Amino acid sequence: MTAHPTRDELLCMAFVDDQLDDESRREFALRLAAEPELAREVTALQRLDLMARTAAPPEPIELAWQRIEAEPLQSAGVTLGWVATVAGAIGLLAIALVGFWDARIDLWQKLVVSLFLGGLTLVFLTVARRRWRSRPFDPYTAVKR
Amino acid sequence: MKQLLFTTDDVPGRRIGKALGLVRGSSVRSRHFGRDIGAFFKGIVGGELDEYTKLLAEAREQALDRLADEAREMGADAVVALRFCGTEIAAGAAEVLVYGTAVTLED
Repeated sequence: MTAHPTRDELLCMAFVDDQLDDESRREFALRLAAEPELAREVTALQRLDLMARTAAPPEPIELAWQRIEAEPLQSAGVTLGWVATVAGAIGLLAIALVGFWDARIDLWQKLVVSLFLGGLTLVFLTVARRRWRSRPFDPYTAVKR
Repeated sequence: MKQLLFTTDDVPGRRIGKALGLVRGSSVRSRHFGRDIGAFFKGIVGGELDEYTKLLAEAREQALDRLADEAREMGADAVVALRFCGTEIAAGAAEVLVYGTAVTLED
């Protein structure tokens, strides 16, 4: 946002602060559905509003968590642990797939199982894509406690 | 104008004009699998599961905003007798339901 807000930026602020009359609000809501940039601007303002509403002084335990998480031993342990876990999971999956294809079962049975697993993977990927692409429009991820 | 939200049955210092009816908001949210793993290990050693504290707070604020939106649509100035309740639909997910009575206030 610049020092001199544009008309759209002012409209976004008025929308978030609930200062638009009913007709203007409806018109703006229609634009929000069609203009992702405008929706992103509104989400950023909602995020600020939420942060102001839920802001709380840090608790001693939160400061302790931040201190501990910043320690090299802790952060290296967490990073290494996750890398090993993910790499191991991928390896296990590969072993399971190779074992499955080497199994002494008919080809059609292998294809049916592959179809099922492939379908599940596709559904998961589409759900993950939906979440990934809609995340910028979810201001509630900014709430801490 | 943003609605005023009260858990009391009236608004101190103001007179209620009209009761417009029930308003409510709900939200069900979850964290991702990685956070669930972190929370699982924290559950073993004890202490606050801050992943779930944040999850509950996200659901609470979203439900409150939905309630306020509904109250605005009805032309309310405030919501009184606000109540929260929660339940569990899915493991690792937080559901928050918030409801109250939308009212107008006299000057």
